[in-house]
Amino acid sequence: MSKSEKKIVLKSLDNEAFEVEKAVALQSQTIWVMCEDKCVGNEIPLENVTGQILAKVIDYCKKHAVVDGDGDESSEELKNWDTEFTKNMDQSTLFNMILAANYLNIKSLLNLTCQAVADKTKTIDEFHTFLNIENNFTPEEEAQICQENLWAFDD
Amino acid sequence: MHTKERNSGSQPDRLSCLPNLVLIMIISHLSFKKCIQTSVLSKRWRNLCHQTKNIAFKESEYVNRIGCNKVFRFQGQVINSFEIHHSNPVGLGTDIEYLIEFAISKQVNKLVLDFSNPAWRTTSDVSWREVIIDLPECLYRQKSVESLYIYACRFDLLKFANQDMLRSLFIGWTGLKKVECLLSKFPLLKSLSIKNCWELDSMMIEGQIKELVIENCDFPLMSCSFDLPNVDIFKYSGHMFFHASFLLRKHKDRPRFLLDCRSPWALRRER
Repeated sequence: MSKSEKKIVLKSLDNEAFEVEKAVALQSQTIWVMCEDKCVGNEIPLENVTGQILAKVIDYCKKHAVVDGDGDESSEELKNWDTEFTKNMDQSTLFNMILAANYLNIKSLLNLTCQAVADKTKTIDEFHTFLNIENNFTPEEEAQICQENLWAFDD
Repeated sequence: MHTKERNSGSQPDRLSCLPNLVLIMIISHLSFKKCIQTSVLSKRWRNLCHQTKNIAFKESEYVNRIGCNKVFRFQGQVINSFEIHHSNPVGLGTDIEYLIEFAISKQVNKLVLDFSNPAWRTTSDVSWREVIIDLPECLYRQKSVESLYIYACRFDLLKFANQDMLRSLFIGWTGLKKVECLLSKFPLLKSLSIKNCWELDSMMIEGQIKELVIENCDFPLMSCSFDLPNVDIFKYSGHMFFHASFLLRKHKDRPRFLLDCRSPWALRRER
């Protein structure tokens, strides 16, 4: 395999190109399938991910590719790195990371970012706001649901 | 050039394209109580909470009896973790047995059964009459649990079927005999913790485990031996044995070896 075949170019929605090691990119099941199908060349267009988010996803994949190679994936150091990685992400970035992890099908990143949402939203109201959910219940319906699970709503 | 939207998280159109599976992943990371609360968020969220991967019944969070009805409505295929914490399970034996059977039928990975009382400080605070929950038969034969926590339950170690899924075992607040058979029942066990147990007979622990923690246990026979060539962490606190033998061979790194012995004569022996 020549050197260029080991590399792959990922192109974001806003046409930013990132050249990465194949081993790094293949942590995404979506990219894996695209490469297997050989329906793409060396450049893979990712239509749902902006350059800003893709850069972060690649950071994550680089970190995890190296450590996975050492066969020590659950090490303390990696866990700390993961915590730091999501700690200071604002809501918008975190939300876009979830969408990207889901689209790219990177299971561990999806799990990490879902965990981060849960950690950042201390109350159910914060959760509501964070996910920007529009409540389409009538007050009667809402009261009915609370009644069914009284113990969970008795603060 | 694209003009990118930069409104903070408020992208309902994009949220709606997230599959329920991802939303379930998110709510699985919430506490069980908060998870149930998401059922009032909107119609789409009405039943998602019934598919959470993590279920915990904590006494501090609910006041009425443990409700089987809540689990009956569970619609998921598997559960990652299932926890019951209840310090006064009088009259709840059948409910608890049902819940444990339910968890095992969902191939639970981490199972926490904690019926200890926060007021207990040492083994002398506990009467055997207060430990009333028996582990159900299905738990001895289950094949999915990797982490098992059993606090203030009655059980018979000899009844466990051999299985190689279990990695971590935490036992507390119970009469415990025949500890030495544990490691042959669970050959791939990595971590064993025994805290505040009584009736321990002479204990010979030999095996491949990486972590062993023994805290504040009563040993009537006062004799014990450990042969643990792969141990990384060994913590012992409580009274020192009369006859203790430690064989903690270890390759490259030394194990983290912590001894905290309470009785004065034991301290003298240590010096």
